[in-house]
Amino acid sequence: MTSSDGIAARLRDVVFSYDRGADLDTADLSADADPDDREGPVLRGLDLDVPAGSFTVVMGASGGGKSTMLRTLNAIIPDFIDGSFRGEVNVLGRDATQTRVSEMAHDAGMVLQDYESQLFGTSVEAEVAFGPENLAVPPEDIGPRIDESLSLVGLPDLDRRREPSGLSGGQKQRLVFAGVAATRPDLLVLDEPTSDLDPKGTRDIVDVVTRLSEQEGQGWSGPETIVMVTHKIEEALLADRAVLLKGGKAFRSGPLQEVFTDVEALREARVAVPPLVEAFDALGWPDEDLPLVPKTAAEQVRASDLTYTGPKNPEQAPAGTGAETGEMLFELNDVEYAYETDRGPVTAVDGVDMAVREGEVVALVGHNGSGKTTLAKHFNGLHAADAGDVTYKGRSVPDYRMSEIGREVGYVFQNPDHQIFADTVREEVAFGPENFGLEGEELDRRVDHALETVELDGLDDEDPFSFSKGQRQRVALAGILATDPEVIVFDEPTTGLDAAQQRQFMDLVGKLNREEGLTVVMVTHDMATVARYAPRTVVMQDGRVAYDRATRDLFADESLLAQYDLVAPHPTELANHVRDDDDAPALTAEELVTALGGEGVYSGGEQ
Amino acid sequence: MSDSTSLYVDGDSLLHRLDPRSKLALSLALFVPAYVFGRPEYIAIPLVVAFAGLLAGGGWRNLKRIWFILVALFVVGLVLWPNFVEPSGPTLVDAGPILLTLDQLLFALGRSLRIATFVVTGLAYISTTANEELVRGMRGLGIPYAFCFAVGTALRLFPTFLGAAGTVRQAQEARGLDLSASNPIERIRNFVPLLIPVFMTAFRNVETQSMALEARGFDTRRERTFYRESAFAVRDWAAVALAVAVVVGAVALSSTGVGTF
Amino acid sequence: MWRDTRMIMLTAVVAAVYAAVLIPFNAIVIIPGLTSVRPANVFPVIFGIMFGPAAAWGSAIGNLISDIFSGQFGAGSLGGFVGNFAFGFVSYRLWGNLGALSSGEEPDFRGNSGRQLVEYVIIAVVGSTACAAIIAWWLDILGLFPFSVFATIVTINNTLASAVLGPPLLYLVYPRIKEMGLLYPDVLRSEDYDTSAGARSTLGGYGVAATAILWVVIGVAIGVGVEGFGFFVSMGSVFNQGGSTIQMALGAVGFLSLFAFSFLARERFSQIRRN
Repeated sequence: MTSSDGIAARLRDVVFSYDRGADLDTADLSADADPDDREGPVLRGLDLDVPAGSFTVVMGASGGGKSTMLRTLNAIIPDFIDGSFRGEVNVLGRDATQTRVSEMAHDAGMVLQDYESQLFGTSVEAEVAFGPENLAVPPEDIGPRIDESLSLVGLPDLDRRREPSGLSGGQKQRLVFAGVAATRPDLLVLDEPTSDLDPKGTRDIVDVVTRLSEQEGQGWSGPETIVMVTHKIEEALLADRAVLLKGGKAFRSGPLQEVFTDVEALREARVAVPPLVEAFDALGWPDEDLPLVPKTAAEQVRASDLTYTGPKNPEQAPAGTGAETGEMLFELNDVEYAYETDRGPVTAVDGVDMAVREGEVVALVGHNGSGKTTLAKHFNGLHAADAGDVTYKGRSVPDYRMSEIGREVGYVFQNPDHQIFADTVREEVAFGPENFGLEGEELDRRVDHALETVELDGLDDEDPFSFSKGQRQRVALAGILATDPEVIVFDEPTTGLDAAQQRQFMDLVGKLNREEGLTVVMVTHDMATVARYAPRTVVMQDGRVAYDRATRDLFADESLLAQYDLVAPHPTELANHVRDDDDAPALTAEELVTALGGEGVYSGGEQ
Repeated sequence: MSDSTSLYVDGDSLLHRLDPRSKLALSLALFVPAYVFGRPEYIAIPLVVAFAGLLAGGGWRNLKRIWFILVALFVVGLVLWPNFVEPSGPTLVDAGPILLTLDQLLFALGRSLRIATFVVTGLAYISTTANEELVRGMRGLGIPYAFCFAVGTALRLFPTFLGAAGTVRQAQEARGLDLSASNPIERIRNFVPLLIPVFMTAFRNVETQSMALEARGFDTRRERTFYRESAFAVRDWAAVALAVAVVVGAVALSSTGVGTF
Repeated sequence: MWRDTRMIMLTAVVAAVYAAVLIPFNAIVIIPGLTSVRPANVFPVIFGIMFGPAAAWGSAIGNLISDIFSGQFGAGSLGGFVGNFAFGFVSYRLWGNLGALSSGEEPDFRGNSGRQLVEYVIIAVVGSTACAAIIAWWLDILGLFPFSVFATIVTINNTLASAVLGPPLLYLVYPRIKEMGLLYPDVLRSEDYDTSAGARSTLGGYGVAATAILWVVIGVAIGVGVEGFGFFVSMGSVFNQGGSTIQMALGAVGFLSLFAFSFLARERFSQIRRN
């Protein structure tokens, strides 16, 4: 299948614009053209070779053309998407620019981020059989492929008759992988396959990808070549080659270790620098020795003469958030809540005691199904406790009217698209405060202030639908801020955002807490966010509070982390390897640098 | 949202094992007698059989979900129909404008039982037929694949969108949306902030879904295979034979005037 | 239509959204569990205008799914399927085909919104009526409920929901759907529809409108016993199926001319879209 020179995919001078009528000959193809300009070409003369048998990771900033590039590999561009295209794409010996997508599907399989959009079957079995059926595989051969694919993705015992909609997110994405594996592609194309998943789901997918890349033996030996776009470092480390895209061109490519330790190239391509690379670069290690994983990093620290001294104020969060606390706001007493189902009530929250003070930043973590979101919905009365009570400022939450508690306690839902409806950003942001009775100048002032806070001022008349996901999440936040709440509850606010958008969003939240005393309760899966912003963490397990203390103490205790199935951020893991028992662990790259002596302190191993 | 949105009850009863097409024939064998007969005591027979089928298929718990609708339909039929038939037979009630004769009452009761038979039969069918079987049955009836695929995909997406509708409602209510306005026009208008997020999130994904579909080799212009085809077993032929016998018998009987007014 | 992946996907999504909104959202409940003003009933009209045939099929399937999940699946579902198909189909075929009453514009409610409103409301009423007539006719044939009852209730419910919600929804949604490239003239390849709409189309448009409204008006008039019509169901009528013979006959005429006229009315939206 592979062309004789060992190249699985070869792209030459590929130019693509989503605009059907674009004139590619006069378009600005320089790499510095504005990446947020939606009118111009997304790919601007891309040259790329993907060696057969390689596992290539592709990284780059939003708008850099990563997903667009992937879509050329299975002929979606130019066959399916109507745009303006130019260039050569040769995949597994075929001219992909002259091939239908359904024809390409024989050789190339694709998995995207949003699993909901990739499941079509009314049962697990039908879902896996779908691809082979489309490719006219004889029915008697499909059965064995279903068995093979489901065990490849670690779901061999799943009831084949179950409906996909009842599965967890992680299971759904693994089912998507099974459906693609059943077509036995030679080239597997992955577009941020874990961005919508929780840590457990992510780990399962990482295992699946590992198995696929190493698969050998009977039946099918796995895809020969894998190309993956991701912004998560733990996934990128699975690959052996890396490509950085910038402005629609391949900016840097080579062996993984080499590309990932090229701090300057990473920064220039606006790719989040792995935290250990960032820290060791700041400490003064030479580029070729920058570590990617905590274990090697720990060995390097031990081999050096650097000593670890824990942060001076371990009770403080690295972002300085949640430091000043005031009066008591919430008191939860033995709260219980059960969902009604056909099979009887299912307990989601089972006897929770908890208190939140003004100005606190509390992280609420735990597995899917641990009850954290259900609990969070008690804070503003979206759920009323079946037993026990929830009070806000001494008064029972269900006794407030929605118009009262809604003004005081805002709730930012996980997906901003579940609330955005208005024609302009301004109307969208004004919707809540208007419902709560604000009008005239006061309303205008609040909306202006909220838009300024989330850095969307000047975009009042834009259609929020045309915004990026990060911007839409900030519109949703502004809609809450405009009611001037004392507390905001966030439900996984950074899911589906890329690294830069996540950082921007959380820095905003941190600023609101530090400067305006906003109380924050956040449900999250992202441990780096917890470490940086929340001095206090509540771990939920099976509807109960399993842990409710300082975040730093939690991350310092590897056995506790294992017990709750949590993974500390890389800098913390490294700190835990090298620190003394009475030293507190660093939680971020910056803290790690300080703890090891500050910038530039390392000057070679010989001294 | 989980499997519990569906009325399908997982099980291994005879009804579960029957081909969806032969089950359809059996349903017709209940619809037709309920249709050709008019007298309540005759229509009661298919209704009892339908209830028995529901019970045998394990669908009894679904009755709890819809009993209210069933009773409402029954009562409405009972109240409406006497107004649409000639008053004949012995008079039961004669109070000014309200006149009700025995024949009118029996006629209305027959209609309400017919309504109930249709609903309970349908419920028994749905309780014992998984979505996948439903789609496979449609294909077995010769309905083109593209249409069957659209139905199957809609069934697959429905619980997801239903969950989204619930989330949207919570999100907007938390922002102070009030759906209890007393002016009916205003009350209907207040649904705008609910409807838009629900269907814009749905349509936002159509492009990605179509792309994912083609990437899996979906192509209506090409040959495809089917992993599982519906196959008729002996029990299915027996069910169809029984259904034909019942239908022919009911039509023949009623045309001689049995069970009718 | 059934050869294009995006149209098939649109059909499925329309169906799933319609069902998912039909079931939980009730604006005004008239008889609990039985009849209420459902905001979802605006969908066949606005989707019909935007997504064309995908909306007609999607509305039909969506109503069926709603029956299946709410336990009302039965012989009556066929009427709901065809009625909701007509609801979407009529809306798809009528935009631009109402002669002087048509605005000749895209339904974005931004330009000449007064004329768009007139055109939209007519289409919403006609679509609602056509849907109601077909459902009520089928229930009458089955002898489940008299024509006049459901024809009246369904017409009012559908019209309220679609006329009140349509304009604000189209205002907010039409430009966005257009931007996403999902309007059916942009999705379908040009060989899949013809662009020969002319005077005959306008005739078809008026024919659809007149048929739907006359069908319901006459049917209800018969049902409530307007002078000169013997409206009682004869107890000994053939088969004893109960549907009144005159309603069945009227329905047969109404149904056939409804579809005949709507096929005569070639879609006009793609021309408007291109101008």
